[in-house]
Amino acid sequence: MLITLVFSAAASAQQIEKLFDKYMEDERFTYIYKKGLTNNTDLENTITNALKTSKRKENEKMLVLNAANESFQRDFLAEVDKALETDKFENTSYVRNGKANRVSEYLRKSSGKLEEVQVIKNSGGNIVLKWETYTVKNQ
Amino acid sequence: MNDIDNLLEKYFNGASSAEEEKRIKDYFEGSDILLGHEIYRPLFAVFNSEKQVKAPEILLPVEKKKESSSLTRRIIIFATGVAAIALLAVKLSISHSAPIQYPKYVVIMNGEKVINQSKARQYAENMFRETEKILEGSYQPLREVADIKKNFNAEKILRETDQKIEDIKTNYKQ
Repeated sequence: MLITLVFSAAASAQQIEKLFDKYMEDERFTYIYKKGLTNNTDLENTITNALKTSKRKENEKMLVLNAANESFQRDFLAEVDKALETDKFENTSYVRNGKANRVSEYLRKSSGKLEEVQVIKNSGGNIVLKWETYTVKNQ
Repeated sequence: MNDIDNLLEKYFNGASSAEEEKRIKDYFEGSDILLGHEIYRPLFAVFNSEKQVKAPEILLPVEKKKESSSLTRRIIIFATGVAAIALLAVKLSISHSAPIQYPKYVVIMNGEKVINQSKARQYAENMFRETEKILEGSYQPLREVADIKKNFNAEKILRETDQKIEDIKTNYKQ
């Protein structure tokens, strides 16, 4: 019974979350976490649109990879892509400038929850992985 | 003209090669653009400016570590220990039903946790702001294209052309 519970908990854990857990204390990265609403800009975003749904930011996390070697950059981006695919995030936008700069956004909606992931890579060897979670309520 | 027309057709069908796209861009950067191609010039101007948009590099501030003497260090360790015991005693004496207060900001820089909440907050907010700027900047070309689309309003162009014809007619009569 306990084993089943452990297995089901592990299976339900998100790959993107695992990625943050894996690298948050890695010395090649900077990890940033912010809980909930803090300023007016966030408050303005709370009421989203005329569809009368409200979205409240639960938290946001960021992993910043600083000028690592190209091979590790590639491996990390591949891990990110794989995690997003496994977690069934939808790629909503992709902007590419030149060879090295890329900005991609991903979205995932589930009952009462909205998650946004942004991946930024630039020519300076920096990679930013940002993950925001919101609770969505119909008013 | 036919050559550029063919290239443009391939470009808009998404069938042009990188080399062909370069030829088109070179053509629109030059001064010998044929009148029939003028309409495409702003579009390629945007693509060229898009090429120059680069995500800014993120500079990470390094937290300065203060050098402390071994005596000061020992005093700090001792005081911290005393404070921790006192805190634990207080914690045990109060109700267990009180919710756990997690820090609002957590920053771990290159494996080292930033303990100072104020610094963590300042740093986190800066980083989130920088990221927002990069995201905003990356969509600038899309906004510019939308502006161009707005300006290439057929009705507006026809109205202006009619007005010009009317003006010419009036001036010709005089």
